[in-house]
Amino acid sequence: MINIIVVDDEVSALHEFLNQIITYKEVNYHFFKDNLDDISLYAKNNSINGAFLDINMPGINGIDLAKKLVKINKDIKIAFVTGLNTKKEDLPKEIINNVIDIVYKPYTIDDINIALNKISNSVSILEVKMFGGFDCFINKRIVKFSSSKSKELFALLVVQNGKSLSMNTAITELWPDKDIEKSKKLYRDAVWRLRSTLNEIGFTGVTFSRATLSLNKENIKCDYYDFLSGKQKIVNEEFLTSYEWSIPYELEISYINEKRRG
Amino acid sequence: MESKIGKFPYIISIILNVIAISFGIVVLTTFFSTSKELASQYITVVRVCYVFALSILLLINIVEFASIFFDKGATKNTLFIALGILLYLSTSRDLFILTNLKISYLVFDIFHFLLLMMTVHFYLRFTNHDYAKSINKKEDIIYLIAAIAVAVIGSVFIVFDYHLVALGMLFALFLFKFLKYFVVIFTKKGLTLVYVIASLIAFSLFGAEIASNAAIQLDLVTYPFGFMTFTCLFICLLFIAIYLIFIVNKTKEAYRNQIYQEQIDELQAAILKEQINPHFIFNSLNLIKSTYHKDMDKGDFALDLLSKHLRNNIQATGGHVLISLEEELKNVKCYVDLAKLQHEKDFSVIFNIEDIDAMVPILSIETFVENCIRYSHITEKEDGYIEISSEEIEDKFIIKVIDNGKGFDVNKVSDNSYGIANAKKRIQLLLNGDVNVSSEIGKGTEITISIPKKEKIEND
Repeated sequence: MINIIVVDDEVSALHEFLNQIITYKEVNYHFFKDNLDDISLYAKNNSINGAFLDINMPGINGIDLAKKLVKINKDIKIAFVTGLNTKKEDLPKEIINNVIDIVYKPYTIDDINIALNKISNSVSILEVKMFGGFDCFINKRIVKFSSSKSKELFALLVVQNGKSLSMNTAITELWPDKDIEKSKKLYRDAVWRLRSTLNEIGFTGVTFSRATLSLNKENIKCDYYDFLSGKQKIVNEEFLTSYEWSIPYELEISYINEKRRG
Repeated sequence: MESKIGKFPYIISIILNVIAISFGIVVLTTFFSTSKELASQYITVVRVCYVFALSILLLINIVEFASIFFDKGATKNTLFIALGILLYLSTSRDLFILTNLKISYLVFDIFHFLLLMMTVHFYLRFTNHDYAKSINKKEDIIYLIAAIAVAVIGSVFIVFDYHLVALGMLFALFLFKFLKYFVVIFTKKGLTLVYVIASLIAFSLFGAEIASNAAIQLDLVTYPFGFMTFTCLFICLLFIAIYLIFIVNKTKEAYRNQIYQEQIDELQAAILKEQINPHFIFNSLNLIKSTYHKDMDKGDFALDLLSKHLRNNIQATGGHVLISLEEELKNVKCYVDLAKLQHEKDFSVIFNIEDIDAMVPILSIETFVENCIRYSHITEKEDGYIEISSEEIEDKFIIKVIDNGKGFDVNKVSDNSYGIANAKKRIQLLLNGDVNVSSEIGKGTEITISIPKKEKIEND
């Protein structure tokens, strides 16, 4: 459970913030308008893990407020939420080590979740659904992949069940009909797009090296893995319906299903 | 740093040094070998020059000491060289003769010898920093210890023969100095004028010491009074020459930097003017409005894209002139996704990206891609595509923007839009890079950006 405060002089911004973070379970939040006395009083009497601060406020400047908060609690984590162009390097040195993020308005839920993860020192779990269609969810929201091929590439990586996926395997499965030079380009495109997407949602479990991709199963919750490990015994839905290369996996799944049925 | 002038002047300095030593020996043997009486005017001249040289050396030492605090690039090497020469002059035979001291000069001979070792050491460090870094520091000390050992062992023979001490010292000095010197000159690629003059300083001192010692110990002559004073005076002139060169170069550099900065600022200011395309933005806003009526999530998506795109453009004028290729490609992707929403016909954009560690001017690649989408008519083609590729070839980064659109005549249109000229100029100015456009009508266009990799710059 983390305690955060949100400070902004515009009420609408506060309400918007409320809408965004409602999906993140373990957070206690308090909203403040830019009144230094209220905030200081609260900060002194309560242990705050993180603060989301606007910068451009009439009552008190967000950066000055940050300095005061850091004086009260030197471990507090600060995230600036601003419409300005502020860069981390331009911040004063008294607070620079406490600033974990600068979120630019208008922000996405992913931006806020990434900041909350940094405050609570946790990682978001990526939920991967492979039965009944392939989709991924992070913080209860569906992940929008940059392209269909990058999504397919990720699916292929997940079914490797922790083993690395080589470029050659990926090309053979994803682009069986194209010539090798064109396929390599399309592969790099899919890899770049996948890396971009995972970056945006804050998922760091994939390692990208020259000609391989590897997945760290630690922060993934996958129904396919649950089925393989026996956590889920029987599965009735179809597996990865849209991909041709999933056929051998489907056969294995039917076989295991049969064995378990008795 | 000033332009390198090759080994030639450096070799000239060796030759000059050899000439100086030989000349010194000739002078010693011919002009001073007979007369033991010193004219009183000559003594006065030497006295005046001695004080003068000492004062200038003191001043030089103060300047060097102060420069450590003011000049970020300064090292202590030049200070120790100046200090060495100051101590050398202040304990030289000239002083003894001027003040009529009756102490045995032997101890001072050894002291001078060590002082020379120290000055040589710092001189070589000054000349070749990476030499001092790359060569094992222990080797340095071995040379020094060897030289001292020879001198100490030689001193034992004082009782028997003073000549051996002298010869031992000379031998060690030559060994230490010339071996290291030749290693330096053949490993360093090219040296600047400052180093050439600095070497003249070093070798004047060494030459004087060797010449006078050799002459004395080989019983050619007693010490030629005034020799050290005049040598040090000459060295002072060389020091002043170095400072003058240093000041001139700093001024030139400051001027060049100013011109460079003005050019950059001008180009940066022009970006905002050229890049914020109202047509594109209002089209996007229109699209967002209509999307929201159909689907809230899709509307959010489009709005996020537009805000990211606007922010990228605004940040371009915020001071960050170069960004990583990865950052720039994110900006490109944002623009491309937004452009795709606007066009009914789909076109593909392929990011054929090899992970390279390149920096590019902000909104440079994006400008080329924008140009592509605007003028190549790939949206009208069946399988129209844009490919953005990056790879590392030898000592360059090659980034390409390729499309299979309708192409254009490169000779007729020089730059499709002002943004292109701006991007090209910034790539050339900031990265010393090159932009090449080739196009075939009906087939497509290929823009090749080549950026040389930055070499590791050694600090002096």
